[in-house]
Amino acid sequence: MTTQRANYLYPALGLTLIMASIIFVVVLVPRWTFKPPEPRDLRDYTTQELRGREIYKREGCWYCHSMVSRPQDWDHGRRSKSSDYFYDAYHLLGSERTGPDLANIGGKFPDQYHMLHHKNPRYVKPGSIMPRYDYLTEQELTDLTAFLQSLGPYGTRALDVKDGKAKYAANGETKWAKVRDYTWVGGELNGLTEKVAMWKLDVAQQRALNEELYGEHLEVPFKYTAEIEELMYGSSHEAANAKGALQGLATPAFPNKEALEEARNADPDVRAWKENSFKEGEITDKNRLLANYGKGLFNNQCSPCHGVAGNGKGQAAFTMTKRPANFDEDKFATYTTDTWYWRISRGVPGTQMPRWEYTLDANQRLTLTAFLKYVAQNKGLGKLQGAESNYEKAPVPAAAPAK
Amino acid sequence: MAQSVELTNRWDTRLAAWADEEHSASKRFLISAAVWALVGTLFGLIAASEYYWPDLVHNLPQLQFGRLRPTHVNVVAFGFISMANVGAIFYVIPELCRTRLFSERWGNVLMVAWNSVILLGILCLTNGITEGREYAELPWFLDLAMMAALILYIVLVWGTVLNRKEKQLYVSIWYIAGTTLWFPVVYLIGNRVFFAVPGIGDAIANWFYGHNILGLWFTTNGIGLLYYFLPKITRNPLYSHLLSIVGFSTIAMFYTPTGTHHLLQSPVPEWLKAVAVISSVMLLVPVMSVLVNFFLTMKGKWSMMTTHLPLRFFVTALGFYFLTCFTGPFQATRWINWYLHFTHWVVGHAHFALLGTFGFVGWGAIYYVAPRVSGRQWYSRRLANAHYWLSLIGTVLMIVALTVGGLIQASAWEEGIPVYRGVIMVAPFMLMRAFSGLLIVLGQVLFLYNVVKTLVFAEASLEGPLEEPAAVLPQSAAVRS
Repeated sequence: MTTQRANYLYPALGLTLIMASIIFVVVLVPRWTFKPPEPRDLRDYTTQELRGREIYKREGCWYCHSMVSRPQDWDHGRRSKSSDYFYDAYHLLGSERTGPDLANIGGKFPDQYHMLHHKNPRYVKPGSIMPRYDYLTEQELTDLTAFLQSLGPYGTRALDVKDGKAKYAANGETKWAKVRDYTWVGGELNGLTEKVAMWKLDVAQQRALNEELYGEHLEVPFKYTAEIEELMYGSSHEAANAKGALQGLATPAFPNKEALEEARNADPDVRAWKENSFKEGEITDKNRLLANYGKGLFNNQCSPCHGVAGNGKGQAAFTMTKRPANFDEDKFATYTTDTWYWRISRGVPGTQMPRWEYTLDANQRLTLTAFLKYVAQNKGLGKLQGAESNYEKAPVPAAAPAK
Repeated sequence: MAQSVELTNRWDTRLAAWADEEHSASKRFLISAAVWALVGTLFGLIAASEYYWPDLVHNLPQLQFGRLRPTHVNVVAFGFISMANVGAIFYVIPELCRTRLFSERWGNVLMVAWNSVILLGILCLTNGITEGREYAELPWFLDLAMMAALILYIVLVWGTVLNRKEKQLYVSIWYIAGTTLWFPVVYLIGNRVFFAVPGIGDAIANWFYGHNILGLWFTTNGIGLLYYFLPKITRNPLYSHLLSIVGFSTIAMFYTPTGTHHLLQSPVPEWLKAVAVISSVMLLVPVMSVLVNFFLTMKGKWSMMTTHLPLRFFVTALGFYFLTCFTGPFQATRWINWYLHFTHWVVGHAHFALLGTFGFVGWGAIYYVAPRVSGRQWYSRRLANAHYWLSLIGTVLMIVALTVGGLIQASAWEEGIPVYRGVIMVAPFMLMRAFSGLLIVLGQVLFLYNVVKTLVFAEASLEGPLEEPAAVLPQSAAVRS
């Protein structure tokens, strides 16, 4: 009797000790030794942002959205660090990515976009399967928006590592955060037109993709496409309110395409953008300097794939499943400034072209736009290098002073 | 005064008889499991449908996806599978120890407490009261209640084991009693309410728990039950006692450190990732030793699957276990995880384990144990067969939809296609997933109907027993009839 019981006792004790040791190693040792550093590029949450974070947890947003930028997410923004989560009382990393990752979402879209997106995601993303959160109060939606805008290196929590000051200030409990200079101030559209243009292009691309992939499913779940069109070109704010479809939304609507164009022309960035676009055949001193800068950007950033000659035969092209674009092709001459800028900024779906909006600032992308537009309209880079090109006669800039 | 005293005594007597009836705790756990199986899978069906019809439920926050998803997981995991396991254990442990359950009355108390926690959990999660940690969403007061329930469960299991009349401790008892020592520690760490681990460290603790609730609760309980059912049903001796020792001693060692393989691309310590990946691959040792033992125990008795429905459920569970635990170690390696993480493949893997393996063990356990604790043959064999095929086809369809959808997502991301366009590309597979969920829910309706007819209304069997030979009824039932 005693011997038989003892036969079970010692193995049980041994296994329990092994089990305890393993738990010690994988739970307690990390707890004691893993100390993420306090970030220098990120401040703590405000009360409003914490309320938004609580809503994000409560509504289960984290089941579809992850919050960790991985090494292979090179077109999502910079990779997440352990210090990014220093101020998080509980983790919300998520385990599925039915929706986009949110680690760097702050500053990517204006506040108005988030408010509209939360009320009905299909207003701005046809085909989205995200639930509607129009049962949340306006205050809750604002808190949630404040939380999302606080995330990542372009968010309101981002600090300049040199002086520790906020890069993009959030004004405490105010309703709208100033993010990347896109603000809603009174009736002004400051910086919003670029996003409107991108939304429009996204919608167009989306519908083309829908028709190509799921022609027979076009009506489900894309029945809100008409509302999107109305939002982009639609009737006045009062008329929309009267219909009740967009009641309470803060986002402005444009009565028609002419009004949209007029609003875009009122934007100084867009005006400068148009002024810098090349005209066919004309080369001026200003254009020459801009072309030089654009060519430098192209050589540094684009030629590994698109080739120095812009023919899509760069060194990296042979490793890719989809060939980089050959800018000698006729279709590129028809690209508008909007299209070039959008392509460079947002990348090309289905290819490995990154979203340069995360790497190049707006001026750099505009310069590349101007350069590529000139190249495409003049049958490629050969013109710039040919004997007949005025480019060859440009004076060589003076060498930089020796260090 | 005398009359009221007499009334009180009569009520107490009836309540005591209800609570002290032999096998009553087991029977009521099994009935509860059948109810929660339907409730949980119905929540899952609505959530899956919202992947294709996002405006299916509008302006009803309790049924929007972000609240339905944890409710579905917690009801299926803690309601259906866990209660089916406990109900079967409260039959198997007394059988193996040749005695009665330590305290039938406290077993019924545990049943009431457990059902209360599940019900309150549904109310809390659908109304947004959540801890926000995967598999540990129940709020802190329900965590405390569940911990108290686990302690009571430990007392009941160990009380029965220590009062046994049988000297030999069979393999099933090792697994089940071992679980009672391992899982409370796991649960405590995962649902801690008295200290916080801020930042990314919270994820390490969460996924230690997230993986070990599968490995040291569902797996160890499920395997322990199968060690009883397969030799018992086939009347073949267990193939190898040595293999069972190997499986038992390695299952705890290698399951415990694997949780961090859910965080291979997150900024957590690299040494912890290495430990997790190595132990994930080493999990092939307990898995394969258990499966070899079971499949060779089945030698010469495979044809019993056609005549013995509980055995059919158990062997189906073994098939799912093989597939899920063969792919699992490899998708935990860095290279494959790099490609598949965050996609629907991972969801498919989770359903492989919980629905395919332990769901089928749960259903099979109910089909086997219920006649033996109630004295009733199953009301309808045809309903049981329909339940089996609906569940099997639904489970396979769901896993195929999620696996293929996950691969499409992964390749889309690799090609640079934005995430939300990947959602549209997998839309047909989400429809397939919702359809498979519908099949599973229909199966649960038939199953619950069968359970109610058999165990509650005690109606006569229409088509004879599910098993050949028929279940041997308890002595007292035979005497009564």
